[in-house]
Amino acid sequence: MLLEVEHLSTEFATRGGVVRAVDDVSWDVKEGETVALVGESGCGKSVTALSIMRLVAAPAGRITAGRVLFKGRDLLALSEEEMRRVRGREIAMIFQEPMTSLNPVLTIGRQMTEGAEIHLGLAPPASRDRAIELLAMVGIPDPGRRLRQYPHQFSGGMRQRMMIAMALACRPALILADEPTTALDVTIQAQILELMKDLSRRFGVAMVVITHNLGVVARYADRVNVMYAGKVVERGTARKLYRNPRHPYTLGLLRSVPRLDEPRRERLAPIEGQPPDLTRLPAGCAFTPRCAWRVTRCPVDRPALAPVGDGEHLSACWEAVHVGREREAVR
Amino acid sequence: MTSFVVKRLLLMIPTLISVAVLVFFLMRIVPGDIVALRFQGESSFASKESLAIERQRLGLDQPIWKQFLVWGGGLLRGDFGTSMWTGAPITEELRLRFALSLQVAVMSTIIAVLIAIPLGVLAALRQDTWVDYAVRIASIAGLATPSFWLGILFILFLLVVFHWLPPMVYTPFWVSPVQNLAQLIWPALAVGYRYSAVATRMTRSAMLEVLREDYIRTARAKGLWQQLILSRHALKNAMLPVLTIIALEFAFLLGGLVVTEQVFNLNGLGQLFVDAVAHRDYTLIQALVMLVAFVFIMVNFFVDLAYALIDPRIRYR
Ligand SMILES: Nc1ncnc2c1ncn2[C@@H]1O[C@H](COP(=O)(O)OP(=O)(O)O)[C@@H](O)[C@H]1O
Ligand SMILES: [Mg+2]
Repeated sequence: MLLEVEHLSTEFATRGGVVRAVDDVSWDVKEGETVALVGESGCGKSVTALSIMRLVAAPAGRITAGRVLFKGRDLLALSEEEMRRVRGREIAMIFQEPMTSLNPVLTIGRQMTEGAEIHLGLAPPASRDRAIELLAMVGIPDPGRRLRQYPHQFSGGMRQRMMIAMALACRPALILADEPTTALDVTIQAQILELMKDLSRRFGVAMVVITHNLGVVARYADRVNVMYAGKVVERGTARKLYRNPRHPYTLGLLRSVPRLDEPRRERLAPIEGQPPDLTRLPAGCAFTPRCAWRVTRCPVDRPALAPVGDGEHLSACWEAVHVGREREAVR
Repeated sequence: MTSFVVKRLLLMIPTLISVAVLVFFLMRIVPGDIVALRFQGESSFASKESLAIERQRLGLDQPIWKQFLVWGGGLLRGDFGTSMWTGAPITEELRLRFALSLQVAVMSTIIAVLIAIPLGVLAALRQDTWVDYAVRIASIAGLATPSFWLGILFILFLLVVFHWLPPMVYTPFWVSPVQNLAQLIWPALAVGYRYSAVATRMTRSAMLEVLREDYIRTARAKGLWQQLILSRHALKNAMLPVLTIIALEFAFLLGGLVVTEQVFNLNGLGQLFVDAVAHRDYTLIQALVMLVAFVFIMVNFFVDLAYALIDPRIRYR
């Protein structure tokens, strides 16, 4: 196992109370694998990724429990200096907003080379050559000239390509990509995802792809974790989850995105209702108020993530065995 | 970049002309002219005729547009004319005073920057800790303390503790740097401390804002050292608003240090300004305003230049 997130909890102290952004979450990533983290906006995906990197905004944000084992080492137990050597070197991160995630006053070259200079001790000519090579690899033409330019001279898609190149600079074992395509046009989204998939295969780098679009992720991920209100509510291979979702929330997510693999029988339906207030989570299942499958015990008794069918597919739902696309029509 | 500089330099010309027009005509709108002031003191009995003769001598009987053209023509040749009050050539009078005031202003600004930027950054990094509060108290105290009073404290301190007084006569820097600095460092410290206050607050808030930016998170995610993140990624961005504040203050320091100049016995521009206004010495006021305006415009030009050098989005627009 490359990365094992175990019982991770992260909280934010706010005026409205303690926000339990990530609540006892466990999942893992194998070497070279692509794992997706899916869920509506605000369900704790970014905070999970930032917790792994130990970049949660202090002092409001705090990791309160859990372990993050990377190659067997608990990242949460490392010193700040040891953690710095992990960031960018072993685990790299790609952020959602290519606009604001790059420094406007530094050249592309400066921002691309500094990681390799610090972590690998490359001298400037060597780090520059490497940056040129990487930019060419992510499909940016004339990289030598591009290195001298500034972020505002790049288009959104190019900036995201550059972010990907930057993440690869030190050949990390794992890349956390937080909604890498959300800010981009649909056509460019597909190109970027293709590129990431291609590069991750080529370098054998594992990826965690964070997205709110389950439709996008199914084509690129090996396994999927569906998050709701700070918890993982369903986990399985992308294929299984897509074909046979076992949690009402996953079902809802699937119905809210266009599908390419089957005729449009029904119209797209966003999940009704709002995600819960993370400062006042109910004792039972947080999805209950929005759930069409709820039973009497749901509001008071929280179901744990448990296997349905084979051991690879897990769902946190009392009705997991009944929930399913094929059964929907019956109800 | 070259076209940027040329454009800015060309824009200075209309600005300077506007300042010249404004100061010239505004001065003449203010009631009470220099001749009346001179001859009709508390117990004056000058005749109408002698007033008219004096007006004629100073050229004040000419049509106002003609007066303006005469003065403007002089300006173009770098000639400020003579003082209406003393009759002395203004350019001569201003030369040393301007050198002195400019030096004090530059030194005060350097001291203010040396105080403001480290303290502001420190306060931002240690936000809401005792360090932040201590910095805040130091800057509020600076704002609340008149620099002339601080100057008096300095003099007293030097006198009582070291039995030494700073030189009382101005020596130009190029004549004796030691003498010169021994005199000017004290007013520069007193003034610099006071003017560091606003810049410190500005540095702190700009720094806090920048540290919340996404690109700082990106830099941290790359595993850069904290010092490198600060010096390479944060400081440059945070300096932009601070630069503006410092430039604005600089212009004030040039002509606004009336009392501090008196405390340290400095013949700078401040007291001259006050006297010129009190005497309705038109030519001298005009010369002083043009001088300060020119320096102000130059400083602004350099600030714009610095902005363009720091921020490529401006440079490439
Ligand atoms: N710095 C912060 N301060 C307070 N609350 C935060 C902060 N960052 C995130 N949160 C809260 O944590 C929850 C999860 O956020 P996030 O992980 O960003 O969601 P997403 O799944 O859209 O990435 C949200 O409810 C958000 O309000
Ligand atoms: Mg997010």
